[in-house]
Amino acid sequence: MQFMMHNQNQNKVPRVKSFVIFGVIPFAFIAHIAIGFLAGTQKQWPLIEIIAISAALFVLFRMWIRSRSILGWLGLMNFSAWFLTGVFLWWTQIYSSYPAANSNLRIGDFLSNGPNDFDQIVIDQKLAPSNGETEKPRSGFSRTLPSNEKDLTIDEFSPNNGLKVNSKYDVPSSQLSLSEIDRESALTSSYQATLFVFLRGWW
Amino acid sequence: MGQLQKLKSSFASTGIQIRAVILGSREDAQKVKKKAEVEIDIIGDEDGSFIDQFGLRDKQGNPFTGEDVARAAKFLVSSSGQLLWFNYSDNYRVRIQPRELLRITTKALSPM
Repeated sequence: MQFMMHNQNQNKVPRVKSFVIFGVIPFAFIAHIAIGFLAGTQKQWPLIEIIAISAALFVLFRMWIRSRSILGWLGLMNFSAWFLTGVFLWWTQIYSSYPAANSNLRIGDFLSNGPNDFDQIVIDQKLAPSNGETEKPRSGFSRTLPSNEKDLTIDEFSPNNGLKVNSKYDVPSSQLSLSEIDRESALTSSYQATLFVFLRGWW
Repeated sequence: MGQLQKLKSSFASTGIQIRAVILGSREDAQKVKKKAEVEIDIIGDEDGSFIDQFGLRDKQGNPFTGEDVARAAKFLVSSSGQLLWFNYSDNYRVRIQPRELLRITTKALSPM
């Protein structure tokens, strides 16, 4: 009887050990996501996570090879571990990558188009003329300082958000704005520049 | 966004205001703002015309609905509308650290 209990305990030890080692892989996955949230960025090649996952895979595989049965607990562990690793690599290296950028912007270009829904501010889309350049600028941009820049009146030009606002600026008071206060300050404060942060969305 | 939120006052003290932009309606922008729990203004570019100017449309980039989304990027535009600095990411996980972003954008603004 004692011999049988001893054997059962011996079987449980590698099972717990393999489970703990397997746990390193989802832990590395979750830690990678958490780092992204906390630090605001992630590395292209998350080396620490990859090393931890590789070590776990190696130990699990060695345990599986040393075990008597190919199928069973360790086989399932190894299959799950490789699957999770595949998902991790696919997400970090393939899925989260963008295709080549479709932009020909240069530093010094002038932005003359604004979003047509900027906290309900209607933006005039003044196309800034290119000053003697033969290359046709991208829609909404000019390569050089627009010649009519000095003709703009204070009503036409918002000095704070980099966008030209025309006389159609009209915010129905009944409509809820994202930032009523900031909209007001955008016309009166003294910001030198606007940092546009483009987001994918909530996910 | 949370990290940028923490540095919002630092950006403001250097003369930079932050505007986040998503491809979507005002309601979508409100949802994102609520979800992110930030005070940074989020603009909903409903038809994507603003985003298209920057070449930032990621076609069918939403994995759940297949809709277009904006590609993660940052653009610093001066009050005169001049593009001072920009940064694209080849991978949406990989972004500039907010403190590094503050340093670079402040430097880009300094010659003005």
